[in-house]
Amino acid sequence: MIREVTLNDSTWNEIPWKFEGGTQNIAGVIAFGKAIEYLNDIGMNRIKKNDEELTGYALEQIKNVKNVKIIGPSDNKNRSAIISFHIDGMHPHDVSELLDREGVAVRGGHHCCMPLMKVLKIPGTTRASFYIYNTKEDVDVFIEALKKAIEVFKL
Amino acid sequence: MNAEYFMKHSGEIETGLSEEDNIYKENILDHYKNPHNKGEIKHNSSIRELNPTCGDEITVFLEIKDSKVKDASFTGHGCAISQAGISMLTDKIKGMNINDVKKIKNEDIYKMLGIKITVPRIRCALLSLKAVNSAVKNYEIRNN
Repeated sequence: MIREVTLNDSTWNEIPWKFEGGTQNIAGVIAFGKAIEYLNDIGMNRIKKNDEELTGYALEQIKNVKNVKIIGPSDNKNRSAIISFHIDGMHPHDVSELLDREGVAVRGGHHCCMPLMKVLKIPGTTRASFYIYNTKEDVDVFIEALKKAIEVFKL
Repeated sequence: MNAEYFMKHSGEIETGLSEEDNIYKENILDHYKNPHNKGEIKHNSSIRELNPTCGDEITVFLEIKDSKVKDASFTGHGCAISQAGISMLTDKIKGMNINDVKKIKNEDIYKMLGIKITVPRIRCALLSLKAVNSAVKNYEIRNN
């Protein structure tokens, strides 16, 4: 927002107003309030517990899948509900495409961390994450889809 | 509640690979696992092309003499489609006149791969052709 405009000059308002020209994001503010309400209704501790349980369960299951290398800590203590992994001989985009065909949505690629991938000497990772709406059955579906994907590549 | 909803409805989604949709056919996997023409050769034109959003990367090496591709090779990494594509394309262009190489169309690449290319995989499929075309252009600029 501007403070003053003349024919030859203009001066800006103070921060934060100088960055807040136009109508504020009212819909976004209201939606954010609702999102906080939603999370508080469920309870952050419950969300954390669910995340930890699912991540721990998934890590245990994924360790039994041949050829899969987990990137990062091998337990759920020092990680959030997200697991990056790599399969030697399969590019992450092929892994994610094959998982997608089984109804499992993951992200594949270098996750905006190309230098890290270079250090790890891998082309990228496949990344599965869990949240309050996921169940142990979802993890089972994911693990089965992963085994099936590896079968396609006959590793 | 949400989890139940997803479980209930996930069964309705058609999954698995139909024969027509299977992009991981034997020939693709063969070329991906045992690529042809991989490694740097003696060349007089070379270029590196990438798909920045997915990290597919191909460097093409061409040895061109009397307007003909005497030899072709590549290095790089990426998904099965991009790497099988360049493996096949380097096979195909060996011995070809560069004017004929320039006439290779996107459709020819899809036909060469022999699989149904969906929109998200178009860039993977065409990276090989992009790299070869750039290498030919590179040669022409330097030699004309």
